[in-house]
Amino acid sequence: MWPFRRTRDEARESVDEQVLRDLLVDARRWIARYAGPRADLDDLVQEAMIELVVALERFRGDSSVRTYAHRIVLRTTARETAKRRAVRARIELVEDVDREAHGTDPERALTDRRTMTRFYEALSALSEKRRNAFVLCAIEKLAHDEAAAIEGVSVETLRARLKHARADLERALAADPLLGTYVAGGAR
Amino acid sequence: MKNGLDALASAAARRAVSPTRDPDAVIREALIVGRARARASARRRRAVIASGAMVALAAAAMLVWTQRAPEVVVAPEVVVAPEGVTELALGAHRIDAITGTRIASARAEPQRAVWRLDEGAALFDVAPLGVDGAFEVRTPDATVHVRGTVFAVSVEPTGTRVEVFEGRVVVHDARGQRALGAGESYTPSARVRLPEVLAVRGARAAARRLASTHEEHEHDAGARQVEEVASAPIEVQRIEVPRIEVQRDTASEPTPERRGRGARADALVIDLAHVRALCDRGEFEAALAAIESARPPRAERGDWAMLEGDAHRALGHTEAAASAYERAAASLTPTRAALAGFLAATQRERAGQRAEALAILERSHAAERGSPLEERALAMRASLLARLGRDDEAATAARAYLAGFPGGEARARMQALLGE
Repeated sequence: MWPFRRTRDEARESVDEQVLRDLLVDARRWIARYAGPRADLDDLVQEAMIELVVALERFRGDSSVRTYAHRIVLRTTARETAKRRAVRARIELVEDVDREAHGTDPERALTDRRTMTRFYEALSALSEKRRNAFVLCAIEKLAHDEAAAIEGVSVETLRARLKHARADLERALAADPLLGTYVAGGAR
Repeated sequence: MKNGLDALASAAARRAVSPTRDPDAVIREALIVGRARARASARRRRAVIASGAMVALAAAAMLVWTQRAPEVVVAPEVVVAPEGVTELALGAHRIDAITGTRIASARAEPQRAVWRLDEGAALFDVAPLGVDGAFEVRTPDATVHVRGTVFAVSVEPTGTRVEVFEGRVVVHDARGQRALGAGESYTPSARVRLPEVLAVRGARAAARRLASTHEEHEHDAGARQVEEVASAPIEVQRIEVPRIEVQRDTASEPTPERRGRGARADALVIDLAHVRALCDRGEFEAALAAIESARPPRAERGDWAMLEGDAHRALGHTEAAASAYERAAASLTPTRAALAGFLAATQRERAGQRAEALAILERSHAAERGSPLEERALAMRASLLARLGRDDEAATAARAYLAGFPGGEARARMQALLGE
């Protein structure tokens, strides 16, 4: 290998490592909020980090590294969750529920857990674009222009996607026996 | 009241996210695997680009090759006649080179042929060329420009001799430029001679051409209008796939021993070369007698039949000539069989046997696309069909001719058939 090439690669690796360290916590949060309660969260995070390293090779500086990374993480998570949907087992959630419920009311915790699971099931039924718009704006609470930058679309497009996503979700949750009253009755 | 959906979203946002158990391990694995994936991806990308480039190059090469295919030269660079007379064919052009001749095809395109004659002598029977056509023979000290003629060029250390048997040529050399007509010759040195065999062959080729021209005129005897158009400058745009056939004729030139004894058939071994020599000298009766008394080997029967046809045709025995040519067509290679079939059809037509002529022509495949005789055979087919009263088929054949040879020699006749 040529010396200058080795130096360049070492420098790049150092930068990549720093970027991963800076973004790891946020990436885990983005994935958790996008995918909902899952037992394979660690796997999703690992896969997203790997894809981020690959994607950083192609980074051209058109946006901030954070925005670019958020986009890559969302896309990787969407792809991975779609792949794993078929093999996902509900029983996996029990361990999480028990752990999260430790020290609180187990019955309440279980109800909340079920509510969130149903909610994410409805969310996963949306198209990726609408789901992304809803997650970024409604759950991550990002401003519309930030979300639009992550998605690489105009603010108007993002607003339209968000509007459709809300309509779809309301329609889906209204038919749900557990969440129907929740949506119809407003916040509890 | 807060919307229930927003409340659910807020609840989702409030959910605690468990921390990564071993961040260093996650980052280390991400870097290792990510780098490997990036390298594999780059390799795949390079492979795809290389494959695409290869496909594009192959496509470009194929395109160039197919576009240049009609001009592909399949010619020997230099032909040295070892002994006897070597016959070369380029499209409809015929070249006879004698012993020891060094001749090269510098450009093997029938309509723009260039030959280089370094030493020896050769007879050039050049078929009529199109408007932009050219035929050039270059010797060390002269260049001969031709436009459809029969001429011979002899090259010796003392100079070049050019002798014209039919048509007209222009000779350029250090002394300037001069035009030569039929029967004229030019040489800077009287010591440069033309071999006798080429002189005989040249005279015969000129006679054949005159006979052929006469035949063509006979074809058109009934159509005055067509004759007028036919006398206009010929514009041929026909493009043939250049092909050079070499046929060694090792003994067409009589040996000194044979010359000494004269050319009597009964004094010589009767073989193909001997009969050919008789035909070359115009002794057709003797040639026929020799053919009759000979027992040709099976492999040569086609050649013998061709010579028999030539002799009968020269003597005006049209039906016998046609019959001989038909026999030749049955045993020769496809290209020569097509020629034999075409000649047989010509003879049948001359004998007034039009239906038979048409049948032979169809069997010979001479009118098929790519055949060297395609143009003439198509024209003959259209004429025969018209004379047999098969007007629709004649019109179709005429249209095929005009589509394939819009500037062909028989254009006017074909247009007349179509009533244009």
